[in-house]
Amino acid sequence: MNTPSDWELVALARAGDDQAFGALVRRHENGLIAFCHRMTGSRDDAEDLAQECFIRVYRYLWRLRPEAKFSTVLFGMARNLTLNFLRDAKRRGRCRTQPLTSHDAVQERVCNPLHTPDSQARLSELEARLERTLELLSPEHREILVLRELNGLDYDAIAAVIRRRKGTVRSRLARAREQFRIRWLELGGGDL
Amino acid sequence: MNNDQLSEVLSAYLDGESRDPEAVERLLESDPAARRRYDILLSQSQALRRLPSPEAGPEFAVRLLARLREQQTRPYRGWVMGVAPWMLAAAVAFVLAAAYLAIQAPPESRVSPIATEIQKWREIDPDLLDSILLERIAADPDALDALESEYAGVSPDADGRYAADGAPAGMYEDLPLDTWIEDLNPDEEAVFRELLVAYAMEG
Repeated sequence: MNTPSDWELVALARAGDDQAFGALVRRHENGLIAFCHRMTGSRDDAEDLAQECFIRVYRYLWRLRPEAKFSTVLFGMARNLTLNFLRDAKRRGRCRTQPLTSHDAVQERVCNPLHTPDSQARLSELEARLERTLELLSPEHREILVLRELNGLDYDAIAAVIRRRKGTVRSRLARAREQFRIRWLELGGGDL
Repeated sequence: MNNDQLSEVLSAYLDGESRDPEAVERLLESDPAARRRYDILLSQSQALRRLPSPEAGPEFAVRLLARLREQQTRPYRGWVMGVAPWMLAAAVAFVLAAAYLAIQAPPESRVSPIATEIQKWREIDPDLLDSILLERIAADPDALDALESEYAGVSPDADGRYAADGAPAGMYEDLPLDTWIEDLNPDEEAVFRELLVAYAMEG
């Protein structure tokens, strides 16, 4: 039996099939949480934002049309929510609640016998520095780098998500990478 | 080729989005400095892709569905199918009327009528406005290119600011658009631009 496409699941969910919506959530939850996590720096906030995003998608199921990729619509909503969240957090003077490194991911590596304590320490330090560098970027540069490098979206999809032309994506991504390199060196990073 | 252009060319090549990949390959073979920059970009990209990401717990979807049931949230069929088109039509008519009045008698105030309307719309239902615009543009990203060339005077520059001169084509050509836009914050600017695109797509 063929796996239903996203839009087939949307059609089923519109007809009241909550299981279909659940399948849609499970299909996209990791990508969405990863994006929100890299943008906000907090796993808890990322889960809350991802939940809010799915709730909005559910409310607007009838408005969604299958001309675009479903993931584009999803990331577009998540982007709005995270940018609003970051703006509100800045107004409130709220700091990041935890480092960007995922506690669970670190825990998993600590328990992995393939990682010696030395290699583990080097890996954690490298990851922490990479994440700190990401954190120092403007939200505009961070989001485009995260969408490309961590979520693997192509230029057309990113253009649709950030609502800019493909040419803008091309130049902004180049600037974001250059800024990342500069910040990386400022933090004392060497060759990767 | 200046520094920024080289960065852009190498970055696009890295992503498989180069307009002329063979020319970039020739450049990388003949220019050690360009090769070095490309290698740095490649290492940076590979390091970022290896970063671990958190995964949703097994209860994430269960909690979400329970939350939807608690809130008795249902897909917004009735409201959207019934009221939203009417509201959208009314909003379009309202903004067009505001633009017409502005042409007839430019306001003394520097606050633009469209900016005011965007604010009102956002207060009524910002999510609906966003979702409508997002959906339209997401459906056809290439439309942005065509529309932006039509509305050349409305396009933002490299810093995301709108041109202070150069009259936009179409119905806004007599309006002191740059003066209005100066009063908008970045969010309002973004919505303003999207509204222009949406109107143009309405035909």
